[in-house]
Amino acid sequence: MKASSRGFLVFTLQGERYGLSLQDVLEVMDPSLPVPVPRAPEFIRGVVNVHGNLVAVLDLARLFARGEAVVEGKFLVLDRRIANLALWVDGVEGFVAEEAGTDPPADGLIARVVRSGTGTIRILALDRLVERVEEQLKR
Amino acid sequence: MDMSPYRDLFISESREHLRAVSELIVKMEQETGSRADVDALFRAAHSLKGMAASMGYGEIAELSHRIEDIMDRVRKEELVFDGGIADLLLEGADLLEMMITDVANELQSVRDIGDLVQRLATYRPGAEGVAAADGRDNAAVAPTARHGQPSSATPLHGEPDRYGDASTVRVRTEVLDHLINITGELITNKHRLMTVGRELASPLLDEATVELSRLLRDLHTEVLLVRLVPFSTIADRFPRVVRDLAKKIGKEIVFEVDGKGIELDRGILEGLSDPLVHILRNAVDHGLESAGERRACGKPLQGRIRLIARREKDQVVVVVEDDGRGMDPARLVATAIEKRLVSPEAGRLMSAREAFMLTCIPGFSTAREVTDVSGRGVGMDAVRSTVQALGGNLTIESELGKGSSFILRLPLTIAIINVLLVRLARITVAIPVTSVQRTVELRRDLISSRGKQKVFDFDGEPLPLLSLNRVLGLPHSHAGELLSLFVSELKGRRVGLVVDGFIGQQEIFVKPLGRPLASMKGLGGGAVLGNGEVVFILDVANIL
Repeated sequence: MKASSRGFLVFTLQGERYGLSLQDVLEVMDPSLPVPVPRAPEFIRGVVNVHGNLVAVLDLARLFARGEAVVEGKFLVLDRRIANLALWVDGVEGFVAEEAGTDPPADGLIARVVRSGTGTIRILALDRLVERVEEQLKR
Repeated sequence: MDMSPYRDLFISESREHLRAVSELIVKMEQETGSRADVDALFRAAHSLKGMAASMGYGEIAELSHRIEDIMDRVRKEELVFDGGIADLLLEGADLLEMMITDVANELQSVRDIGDLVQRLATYRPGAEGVAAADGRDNAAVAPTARHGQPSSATPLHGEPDRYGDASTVRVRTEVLDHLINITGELITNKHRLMTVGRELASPLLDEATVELSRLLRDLHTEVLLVRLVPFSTIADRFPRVVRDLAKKIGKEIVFEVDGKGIELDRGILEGLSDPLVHILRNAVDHGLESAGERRACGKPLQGRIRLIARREKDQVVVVVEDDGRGMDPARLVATAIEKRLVSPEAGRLMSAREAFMLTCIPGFSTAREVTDVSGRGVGMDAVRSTVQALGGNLTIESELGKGSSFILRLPLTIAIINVLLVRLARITVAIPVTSVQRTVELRRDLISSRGKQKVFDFDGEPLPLLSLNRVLGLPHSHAGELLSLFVSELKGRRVGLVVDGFIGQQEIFVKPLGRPLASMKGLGGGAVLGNGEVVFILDVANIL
């Protein structure tokens, strides 16, 4: 696949920069109050109604065990083909085209790290992320 | 030969999938395909495999399976999607198309898939030139025409068959799903308008919403009608299933099907196929006695199985009844106690009806054979949970020496169900009314204790009390003079589930939760009420 033709949406979480493939994000929304899901683990904050679809809100900071989502953050609603899921992140920085140079993955949920300008962006491995969440929900 | 409508369904659906497969392959070859395309291709092959396997088209299933495998390797990034793969996959799609056309034309196909299967299984990038080259000659192995027509190996696409006429329009099932979604949304919105209308007390608005209600009901009915297919769509293949099995184990059986014309939602009907096959096989295998046994009891030598579908109000009832040996509740209870599935005390208190339902507890049946019809082991527990997932319920009636009946009650449609809304701490949850046997407002002095368990008297039967709040990890005070509870069945055992209050019954439009929430045990979906409130639908049988 020609990765260079793809762009990333860059968001921030606890001072770090993360990226998601643009085509995986359906919509960026302001947070609304999620309706809690009985018995769900802490990182599932609840569900919200997004244009008639019930979408689970995943608190990424809690999942990564790095605090919790900030009220003034954003919801990144994922493409429905991946999951019925919105990621609660601290903020959205913008879009970048991927630049050359990738480093090996830092951990299981990070697909790779790309350099951009002065810093680096950790690209989330979305399918692994959803799988991990699914695993924990089954328990 | 009778053209089974089930086969028609298979043909039209598999062509749909094949078309998608070809389009996706070409797309991915031309411009790097996205992850979604890879997934879609994988899923199309997977669906094709499943459909073919359930219809007994082994070779179509096998070839689809290989295509699915190779796409799985691409998906896992073990393979890069290159020209070599595209060639192989297109070759596979062409061969599948020919095989499906053979099915459509009722030809016994003996196409050779072995070579292609081999090349798909051993594909390594770089070797594609060779693979593609020698593949071309193998693709078109002639079908053997059963009626002596000259075999034709030529046209792959557009081969005329009797399914090409334009008297009907085929609509993709996603479009139907979308239509029903939109209709559901409209109904939710109508409830919203009515709420506003009540606050405004405007007769003109009331009139308009009443009219809107009527129109929406019509629309809803029409949309549902489009999705309805007759019971015969699946039932027509059952005589064969029963016949083959009866022959195999040497029993003589009369099998009758009633109500083939009864229509059900396509989604529900598809989901019913496996459970019914299982129940029928059970009836043939265990339900009916051998001829010798029947003679000894003075019964007609031929066993009898009836499959009946009928409408009852807004439900369809499907019954499988046999005139076999029936079940002995006491023996079922004894087995369950022996296997430690129920305590001796609980067993003693069981009604016959509850005892029959023990057969649906996971682990009750030891004879969990793998059926070659469905291709995997489905026990009665799977039957019951499938029926419940479809919004229905299963009951069993049996009389020793006379026979058994398995009764499946199903909604006409999946998308809109009747629920009981209950309050738990600060949230509202919806309980499908099919899971509610009765609602009770219980005086506290009618509660007694049995060890650690609180029980209450329900028509002479002591039922354990359980706090639904507690089960769901919510605060549970259950204050007040009367306890609100509903009686439901958990793991084959009736219990009283205590809630903080009843809100009422309502029709709601079920929204699937999708990934990842659908993996949570006990959640059956969600819904948005007229006031905009989001509620969860509990799958009561599976909350523990």
